[in-house]
Amino acid sequence: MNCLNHPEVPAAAFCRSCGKPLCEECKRAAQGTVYCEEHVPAATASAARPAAPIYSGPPVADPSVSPGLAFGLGLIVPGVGAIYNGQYAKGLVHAIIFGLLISIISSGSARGLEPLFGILIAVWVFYMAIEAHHTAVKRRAGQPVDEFSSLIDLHTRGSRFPAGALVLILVGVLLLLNTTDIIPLERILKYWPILLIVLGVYLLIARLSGTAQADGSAENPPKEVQHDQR
Amino acid sequence: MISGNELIRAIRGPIILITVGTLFALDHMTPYGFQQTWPVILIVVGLLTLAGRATRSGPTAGGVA
Repeated sequence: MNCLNHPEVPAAAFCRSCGKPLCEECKRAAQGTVYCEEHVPAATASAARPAAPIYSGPPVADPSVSPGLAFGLGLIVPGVGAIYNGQYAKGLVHAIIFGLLISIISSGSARGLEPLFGILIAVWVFYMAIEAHHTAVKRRAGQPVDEFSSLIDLHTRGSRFPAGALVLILVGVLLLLNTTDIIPLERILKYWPILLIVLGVYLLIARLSGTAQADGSAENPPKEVQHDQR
Repeated sequence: MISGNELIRAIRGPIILITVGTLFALDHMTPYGFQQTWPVILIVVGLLTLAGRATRSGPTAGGVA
């Protein structure tokens, strides 16, 4: 990522107030952290208030961060990997999701889907550990880390189809219908081959609808790779 | 000032917390147990994600990696 004011210069820091990427020239140090030109507080204010310690991802390389320790902590106790990385809210969210999965399986709410939730719990445990490892690697390299950073890019850019959100809503509705006994899941799961048909039709339309979309999706990943290497 | 997308991101946590709280309240006070209502959480998270996408102004606004 490059500086907002100087697009050719790589960013060295981020404004604590607005999150703007800033190069060495544009950043303004105040109260123990970094601001942009607009948001830098007055000198009098800095004397009155102590430095705000909330900023979780200091964009300075920190060699004391151990990705291995983050992985181990993330594996042993849910959420602790994120807490080790200074992402307290994310640690809480991770622990809550873990607890919800356990509650669902132990209260008998899964209604025949226990194997699915068993696997989900295993996946979640390893996701938390691996995610903590990745975040620790980023922190050690001095890359900025969002409070809610995740392995899956939540800030996907472009006008891509919001598949994740729609799948989540659809799964939620189906499971709700199942648990409230309106439509049991077995009756819906009978129709699973339709998924294959829908997928086939979707791919067919994507292929036939021209090269615009294909170009867009092929163009994005290399750009990201370039950013990471810089 | 504060854009729609920032607003969605800011209220995401509280909304999920309120949903979970409501579900547990329903569990305690009504016949709808948590074992019946938990998929509502998935739906709420999905809707919040959709709302966040819908309010994002453009590729450059929120998505600079």
